[in-house]
Amino acid sequence: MKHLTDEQLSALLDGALPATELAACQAHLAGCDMCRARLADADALEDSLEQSLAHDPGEAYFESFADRVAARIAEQGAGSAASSARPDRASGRSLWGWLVSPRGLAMAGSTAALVLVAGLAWVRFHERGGTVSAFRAPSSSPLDSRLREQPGSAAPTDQKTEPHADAPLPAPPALGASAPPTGSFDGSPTPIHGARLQAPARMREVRRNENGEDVPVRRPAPAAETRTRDEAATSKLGMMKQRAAAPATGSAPEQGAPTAALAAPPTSAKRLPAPAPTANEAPAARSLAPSSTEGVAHAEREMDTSASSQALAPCGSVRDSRGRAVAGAQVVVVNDITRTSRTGPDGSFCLPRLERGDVVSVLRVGYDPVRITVGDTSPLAVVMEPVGTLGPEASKGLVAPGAPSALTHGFTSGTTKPGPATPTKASAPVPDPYAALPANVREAVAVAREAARVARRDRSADAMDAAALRWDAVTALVTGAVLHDARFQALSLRREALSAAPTSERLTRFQADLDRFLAQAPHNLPEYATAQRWKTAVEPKNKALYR
Amino acid sequence: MNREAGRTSDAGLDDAALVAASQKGDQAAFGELVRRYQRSVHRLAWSLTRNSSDADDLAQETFVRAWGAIGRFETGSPLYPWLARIVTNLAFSLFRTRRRRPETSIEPLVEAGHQWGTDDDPADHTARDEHHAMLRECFGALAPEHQAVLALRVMQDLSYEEIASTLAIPIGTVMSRLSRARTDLRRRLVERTGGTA
Repeated sequence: MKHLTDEQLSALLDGALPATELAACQAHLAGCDMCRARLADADALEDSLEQSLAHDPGEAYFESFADRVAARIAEQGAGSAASSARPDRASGRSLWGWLVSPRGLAMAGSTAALVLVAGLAWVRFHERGGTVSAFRAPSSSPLDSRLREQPGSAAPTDQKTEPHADAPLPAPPALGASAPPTGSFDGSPTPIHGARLQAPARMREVRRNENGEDVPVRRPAPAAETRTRDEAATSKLGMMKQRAAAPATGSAPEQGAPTAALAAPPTSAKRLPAPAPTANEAPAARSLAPSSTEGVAHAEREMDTSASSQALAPCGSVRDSRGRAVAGAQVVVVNDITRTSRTGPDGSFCLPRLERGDVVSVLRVGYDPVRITVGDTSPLAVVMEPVGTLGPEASKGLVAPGAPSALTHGFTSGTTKPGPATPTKASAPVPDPYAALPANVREAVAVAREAARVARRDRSADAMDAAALRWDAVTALVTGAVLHDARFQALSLRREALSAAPTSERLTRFQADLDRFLAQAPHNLPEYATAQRWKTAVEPKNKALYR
Repeated sequence: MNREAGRTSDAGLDDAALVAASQKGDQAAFGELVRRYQRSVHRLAWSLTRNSSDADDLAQETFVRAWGAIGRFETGSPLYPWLARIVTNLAFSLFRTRRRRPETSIEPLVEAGHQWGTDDDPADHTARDEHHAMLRECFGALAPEHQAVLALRVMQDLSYEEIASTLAIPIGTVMSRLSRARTDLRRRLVERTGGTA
């Protein structure tokens, strides 16, 4: 199989690859280091992007938000929901006001251009004795032949369909010139017509060539579009056709499925190639992984080569303090954004490159961040301390321990290389400590977990407080080890709420819960050590933030 | 959709009842919808504008437009894709305005606000802040339609079907647009860092 296309990787990330392709892609991933690295890289970038674009304006902002919306509605005079079909018309904007608005001017300009071109065409049509060929570029035109030679100017049908296939805006229900300035789609505002209105005008532009003939002016496609089309080589075309025949359905595979393939042995010390593999690389790709055993042998040869050239194997593993693999941890070489990776289900990762002295930062929600400086021993064995990891979010990253050697020594590229990925084995979940409890307890736990999930997703301190209360409700139903777990869940959520929106009330409640947990939880619990650390950390924070 | 389920479990009425009441002019019901979706709408608005002023304006205007048009909203349909469609259309409109009037910078303001959940080593903060600022700039340089699909997918966790419904495009286009957006984002990052990854 050829290397995965960008589209396949993208769909894998989203768990949206059609079932027909999924098995083949996973089989390829199991034997292809490069595609695994690309997938891990893309996954890490996605996580970074989410963090980069996340922004919490704070609780105070949202407390008054609805009031500000109400004031704005009153200010703009937008009629009631039932009465005003068109808010801007309801506000009584005049026709002249619309005409001098930017949208009106743009529309007027477009209309004028259309009229002008149509007029010119009419004149030209009559000058040429009514032959419609006046609008066709002569096939012998040098300009046209040059245009046809350019890769960006493919077949005319391609040029016409491309903008529609990737139109920048939702298609408005009506495109008439009399469309209102705003609010014409089903409840949505301002469909934008510019791109579609300009397209016919461009196609009618003509230029006189050296032979005195009129030829239509074809503007070259934007650079980005041309590049994208070039990248989408013939191998990709086949995928798109196949996808068009069988688009993604609702039965998308589980999110864990793509990353399960990451459990395959990270082996190579090579740098991730920049361009997406093309059809020309297909033979090399096949030689990389003709079978699983050959793939491992090949990888070991690569290791030998890397060792002799003094390069460090850029792979390693991440485990928690109990020795369990931590999946989904982001591994970043500090100050080099191009060298990022993400741990697979077995906790292993491979960076594109690793050098002595590099500072590697390992991040995972629910764990304390870790920074290590790379020394002479290349296989990195990173240990992360959980900080409230027993909830549903973190449990996705915990994998049942594998062989003892892998637990105690971590992934060592030269010696304890695991076999190729077997998704079913790698994605085995941690046993749910609440699974054997009565239905009412399980129901309460499910509600609490869902509330915590939503709260964490929305970064809402209020929602985190509410989710903590749900966990408090669970603590009333259970005893023993799960009681401490439920308390720790509530404690973690209160800590996160405190971090998201610090208030003295949250601090007081968190400290009270923390003290109770430390007083009653067994000292050999990993969470106990975490809580102790929180206890020492909260004091200076108290002085700094809440004085 | 779990998102709605999570939200509606905390409030007495579900979305459909609130929408129906809003369609009859019940402002309190609409206010509840605003409170229910304000975070998601603001989150999407901020990811598309990357500055607080525009995000606030966009989020408020979204609900103003929604109020003006909720009479035509099809009861029973999921509300959030509809709201997200308003947000993205307003954002597109803003992008066009900024392009026409370049004196108003389209570059996002890199805000020095705290990152959620980070209370660790300050050195980590610095490296991460730089990383995130660069990512935001590269994201802002993407084509608006690419920003929209990425934001809806990554920030809102919408399915392909929901994105297709939000942007009124076929699912196949969602898939190809997401792929192009990711490829373009990575290319821009590599260009910025001078790397060859």
